Amino acid sequence: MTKLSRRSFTTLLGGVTASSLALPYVAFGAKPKVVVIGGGAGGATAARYLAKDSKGEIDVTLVEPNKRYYTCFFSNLYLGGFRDYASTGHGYDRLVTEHGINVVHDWANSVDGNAKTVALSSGATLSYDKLVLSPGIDMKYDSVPGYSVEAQSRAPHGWKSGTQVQLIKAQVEAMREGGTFVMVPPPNPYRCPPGPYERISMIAHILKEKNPSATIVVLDPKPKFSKQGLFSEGWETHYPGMVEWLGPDTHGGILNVDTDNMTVETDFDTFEADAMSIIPAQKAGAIAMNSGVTDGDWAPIVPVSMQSKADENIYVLGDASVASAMPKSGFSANSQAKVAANHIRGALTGSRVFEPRFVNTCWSLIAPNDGVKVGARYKAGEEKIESTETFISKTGESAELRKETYEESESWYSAITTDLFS
Amino acid sequence: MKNWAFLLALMGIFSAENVYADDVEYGEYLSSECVTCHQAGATSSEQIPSIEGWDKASFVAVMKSIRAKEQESKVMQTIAASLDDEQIDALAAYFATLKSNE
Repeated sequence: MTKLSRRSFTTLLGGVTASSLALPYVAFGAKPKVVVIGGGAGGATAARYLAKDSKGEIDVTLVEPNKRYYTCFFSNLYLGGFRDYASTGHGYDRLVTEHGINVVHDWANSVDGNAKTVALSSGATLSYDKLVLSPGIDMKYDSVPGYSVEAQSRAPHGWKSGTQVQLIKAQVEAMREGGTFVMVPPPNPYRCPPGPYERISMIAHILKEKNPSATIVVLDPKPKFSKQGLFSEGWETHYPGMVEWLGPDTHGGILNVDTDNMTVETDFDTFEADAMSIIPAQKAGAIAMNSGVTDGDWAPIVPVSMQSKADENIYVLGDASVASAMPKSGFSANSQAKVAANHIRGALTGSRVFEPRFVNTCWSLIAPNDGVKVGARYKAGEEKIESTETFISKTGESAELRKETYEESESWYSAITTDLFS
Repeated sequence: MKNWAFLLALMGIFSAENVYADDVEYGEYLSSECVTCHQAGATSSEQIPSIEGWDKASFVAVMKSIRAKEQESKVMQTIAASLDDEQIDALAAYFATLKSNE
């Protein structure tokens, strides 16, 4: 039949099979249905690109409990006082008015992969031809001894943005003079690898201005962390003597968190805190765990399409997926969503399916106008998404370059939120 | 067989070699990667230029210059390294169809 080139997706023959299955929709005028669960970086992008690019040929429903979405990315900039909280919130209106997406504010409770239906909390059932799961993360509260859902108001994780981050800000600002902030970052893999350390930077920035004799202790379960050289240099430069980071070789392990007495007990010592943030280990959001697509805590995917390895009619995006070399980030989820949307559209309407392209960049702010970044390109390997070229900011860069990097991140925020919600 | 081929063609399965020149549809797919940082429908910001409505020749020249690492941006060097001449042409063709925001 046709000559294939790298421009057309290499498994286009598979696409033809899928397209022939899709023929009934075309022939009888019934619109194929896609249900997207989760209105964050992965889900909103997938829904928007499916609706926008299919120009009405696909019936797209987006299920998201929140009427307003507060981005996890840049929540640290709110914490540090570089943005107001409202500026991190986004509505779904334009997805409805501009792209005809059916936005349903409800919880998805369960998926029946055989019947191809989703049961919602309201009692309604949605049927689909293709399902996109982009539910983000849930916390494994018991991964930190003594931590629990109940303890999260005293020691907020703040790892899903929203009120938890507001709480951290309030608690940092209320610390007694010369007090101690204790953070326990999560073990790998988790959402936003540099995030805990950007948060430390932002808290240090607040304390430097309001409570300069205060200190921050980081009790990390990991021996090393993302952008470590850059953060260590930045803490030394901007917040000398304020931030003490202890890896497992030093503290010997977290034995207990006591939020009544505000202590963290380690093998090495017991640390008293005036405020603390405990970020536990994480797993795929509940709906992924309930859909039979997870293996352990996360959902394995087929790299070329982001289809679940367990069910070809389900695509899993973003933090919930096993995207291997790609970090769990909003940027990654946005990139993966475009690959999935192109593939789904090809399967349902016969549109051209192109080779997948994956990219990510994570910016972090260390201090005012001191931005750093790490990023990479990826390719779909047979089994895994693999990184190709990578880059990272260097230690000792000029203040001018760091300012440019920060400004670049501001522009990116504006662009990606436009790409999600406009 | 004829009908089958016709249907496939109708459904765009024949993304044949001869449509490669100015493949705007392919350019649009590739552009979805650009708009994560180059905000759609917006003017240039301090660090990230608007790239909508650029003429084809300029777009191609700039991208090839970045690919040759003649320009500083690490992010753009990483992106450009993954684009061949055909892909840069397709992107240029697509962005040239858009209205400039400047």
